Amino acid sequence: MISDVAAQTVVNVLMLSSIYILVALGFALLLTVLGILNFAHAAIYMVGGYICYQLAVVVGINQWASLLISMIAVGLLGLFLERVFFRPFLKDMNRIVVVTLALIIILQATINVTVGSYIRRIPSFVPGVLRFSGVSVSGDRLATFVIGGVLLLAVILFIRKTKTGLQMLAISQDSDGAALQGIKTHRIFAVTTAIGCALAAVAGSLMGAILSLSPFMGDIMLVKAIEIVILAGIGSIGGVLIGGLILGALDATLPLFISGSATDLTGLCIIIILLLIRPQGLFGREV
Amino acid sequence: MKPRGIFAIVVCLFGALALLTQPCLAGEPKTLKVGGLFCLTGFGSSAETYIAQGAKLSEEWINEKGGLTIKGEKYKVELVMEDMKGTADGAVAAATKLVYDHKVKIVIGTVVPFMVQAAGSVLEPAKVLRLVLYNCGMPSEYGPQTPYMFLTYDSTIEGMRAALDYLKEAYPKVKNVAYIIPDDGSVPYLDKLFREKATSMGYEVATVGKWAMTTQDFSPIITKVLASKPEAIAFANGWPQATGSMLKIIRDMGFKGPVFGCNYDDAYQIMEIAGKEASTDFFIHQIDLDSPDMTPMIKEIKKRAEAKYGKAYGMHIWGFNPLYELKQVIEAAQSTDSTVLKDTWGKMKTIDTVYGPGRMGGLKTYGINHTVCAPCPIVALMAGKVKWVKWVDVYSP
Amino acid sequence: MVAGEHAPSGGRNWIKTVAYAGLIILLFLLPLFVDSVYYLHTFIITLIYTIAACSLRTILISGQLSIAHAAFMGLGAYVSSIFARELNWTPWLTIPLGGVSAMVVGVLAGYPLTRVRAIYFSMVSLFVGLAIVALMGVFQKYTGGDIGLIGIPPLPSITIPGLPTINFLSSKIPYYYFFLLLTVFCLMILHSLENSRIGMSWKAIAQSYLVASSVGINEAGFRVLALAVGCFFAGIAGAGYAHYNMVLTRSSFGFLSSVNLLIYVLVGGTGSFFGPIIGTTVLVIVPEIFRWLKTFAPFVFGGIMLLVVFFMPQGIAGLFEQVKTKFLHFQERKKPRDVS
Repeated sequence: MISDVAAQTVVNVLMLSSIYILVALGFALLLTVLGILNFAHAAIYMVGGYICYQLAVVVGINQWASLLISMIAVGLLGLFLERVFFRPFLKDMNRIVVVTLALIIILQATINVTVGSYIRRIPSFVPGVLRFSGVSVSGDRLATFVIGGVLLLAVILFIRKTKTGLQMLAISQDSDGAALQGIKTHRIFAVTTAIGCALAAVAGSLMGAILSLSPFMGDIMLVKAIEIVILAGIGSIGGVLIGGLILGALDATLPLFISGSATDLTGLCIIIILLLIRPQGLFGREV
Repeated sequence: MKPRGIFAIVVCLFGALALLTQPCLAGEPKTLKVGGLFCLTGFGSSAETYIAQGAKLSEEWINEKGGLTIKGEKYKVELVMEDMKGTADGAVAAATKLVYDHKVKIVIGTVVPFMVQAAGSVLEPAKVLRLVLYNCGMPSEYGPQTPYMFLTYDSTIEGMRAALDYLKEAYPKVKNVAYIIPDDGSVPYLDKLFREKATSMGYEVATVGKWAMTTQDFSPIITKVLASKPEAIAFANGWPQATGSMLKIIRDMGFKGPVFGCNYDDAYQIMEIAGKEASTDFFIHQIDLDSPDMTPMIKEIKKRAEAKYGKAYGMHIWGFNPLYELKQVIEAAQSTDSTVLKDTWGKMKTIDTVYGPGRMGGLKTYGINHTVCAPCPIVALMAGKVKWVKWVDVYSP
Repeated sequence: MVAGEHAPSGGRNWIKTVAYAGLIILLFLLPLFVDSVYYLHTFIITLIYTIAACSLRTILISGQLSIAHAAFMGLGAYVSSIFARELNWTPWLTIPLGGVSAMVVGVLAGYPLTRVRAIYFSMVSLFVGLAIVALMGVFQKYTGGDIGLIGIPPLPSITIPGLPTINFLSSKIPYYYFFLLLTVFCLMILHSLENSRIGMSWKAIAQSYLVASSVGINEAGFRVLALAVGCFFAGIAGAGYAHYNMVLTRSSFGFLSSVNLLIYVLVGGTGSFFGPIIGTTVLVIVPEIFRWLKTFAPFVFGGIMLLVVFFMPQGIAGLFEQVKTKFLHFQERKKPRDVS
């Protein structure tokens, strides 16, 4: 009985963590390389979900294909956003905050006006439920777990092993120095934003299947992504794994013991205390 | 200090003044302005956009039928809608705009409880007749202190009674029920009412699960609720995202018993979110537009909604209802004065709703007899299909 | 920098005083031109958010970009209304109490927060704000939870001998004057603080905390002081809002509201004291004008933000600086031609 709840909770923690990690990954990438807090990440995530929905349900093409197309489309959107909205303001934190917040408002309003606010859901990518000894996990969550893990690993490997990735790392440590060494910083910024947005599209599409789609779906997820990235520490992609696990563990276990709004309060207090002990985050660079 | 800064403010203020003080367009003679308060953007807009469309349909319907006749004079209804933007501040601003700028004395709309309350803080002192669609049982929201508020249709309390009655009938073997409720402040009141009704019917309340409003993933709370081994699960109130997600998780975790919702919510939307496999043994307070068992009025609204918006939703019907009731009240009172209307409506024993004949009640439950209790339709989701169940007659004394 | 900007001259000061007085007189006469309660409501809300936005800028000039300000507003609002509602204290007493309680929490949170700087400060402050809002949800017996608190007493009527009684329930005009006086009072304090030694220290810390510490400025102390001042006025604004609105909902003080306040400040411009005032005025009043756009209305808000970001690097308040610079350049280019 209690062991059932415990086993299910362990599964819940892993699944919720993978959801959070997937959402936070693109956000962390942009923060690391471009050094910007992309508040619009959650809105881009929502747009990705909607593109996938339109392709899979309205047009009626294969779901995995529409996920891929959504990734590419949102990646291209990322290129556009980087060129027009991010690049001119990279050095000015105040303006980047305003521009990304304006993007949230505009993207939400665009979806609200065009697609409408009716709540939708993308059909399951992996239908069915996996059950073993009192523990159950839906196919979509399992897919998110696998995709989240693979993407996290891929991003880490990409950064550590490829030339572009190493250039990203160099820029994240010292962008002027990197530029002096002949790294085309703007090209790297563009690639990073495209990848970050494509990751958001994957997350949005999968969340559209696990939860639901609405123009305002990103508002709470944005806060979760910020919590993870700050907990992990700016500049650490690998830390997102630990940050996601901590947040997932908090959100999946606290409701068992405390009910309602108190779970929010307890979770936030734990995060604040962790950050006050380690201001730079768990794996972040020194501040 | 920079003088140009001061200059800037002066220019801004003058510009703002020039734009703001433009007189609004004067209404045509013999037009009854009715305000509409809905969320067209932000929180709640997913349902309220369609409720607002339904209200628009009812305006057209009344005017097509020749409008309202008051003391031999014909009046056309003009529905002035303002967006509450999904926030309490927005609700206050929209209500202020309706009352003091559009000068309306009757307002329909507001569904989400916190916006009902916020808009009420402006409308109630201004003696504006309010035709509210939903209420979650908080005494601060609706009660003797809100004499101008009318609840136009069954809300969560009536829905809960109808649902428990139907549970007894359809699943006689169920002995205990778990109750899942958003932790929004209404818990103490709804919890008490639910326990009273459930114990009086011989049910045991297995557990009460409270979820925080910011919950993204409902798996933990469902795990907790299922650990108490309930035989049926009830949702107090919520919105399709929450209800649909929870239903999906409940079924994914292998719960086979009946699950039901107490609030008026779109069954098709819930099924879309929960998925076809999970949509079974679920029932909720809702109509089935395709069923032949609908009232003639609902069939008419369905036709109009399809003609105008392409597709009809249960929310259209819900939004149509307030003006449909208002028409009868105005014609009975032969006046457009909100106080006269309030008194007349308060004395009425019955009123026709689009859902069938309604009775006025609520004195014992809410402390004021301004509740329209109409037949409560129940729709089930069975094996991935929406199935019409029946009309349940509920009455809040 | 434009030459002569800092040159103190008697003539300029004289113009400045007249302009100030003129503006304030204009604002005092406003209810004579505006008879719609709805417009007065919009102006009152603008005044309330002006206090909050200006106090946020006070925190900002000390180098701390706080995303918790609406939460402190909410704290003041709830403390003031709970004391007035449950204990029947007069709002004249509970409004300052609301400010003080927001200040106390600001100081309590501020001390540990001095450990973090820049972007980390912003983020931890964001979590502090969320925690405060969650706290309001936990004590829902007093705060009403998400559904909200009603029955908050309005400001009690004032009787001044020889004058008719000022009754706040009768119309919005007394409220307008109350908030106008409150705004002028708060802004005067914030303005003089900014231009005092304290303000200079804040700006020094914002420039470089290492340099500031090396010249003997107590960094932590001054940062906490900025938070205390900012939170106090946010609390006052929130408490005033509570007794004006007479209904409170905790979602009005959440993440999005804090972000909105930040937008007011950033769009107005952080460089000038008038920035937040202009930003709040534009961003509160313009969307109200475009209310009739309904679902398209958010585009107006977003459009203003983009317009400012692209064409006014220093915010709307910086626009006049830009125009003047352009104008001077133009004149300077003209001059040599005249000489030749």
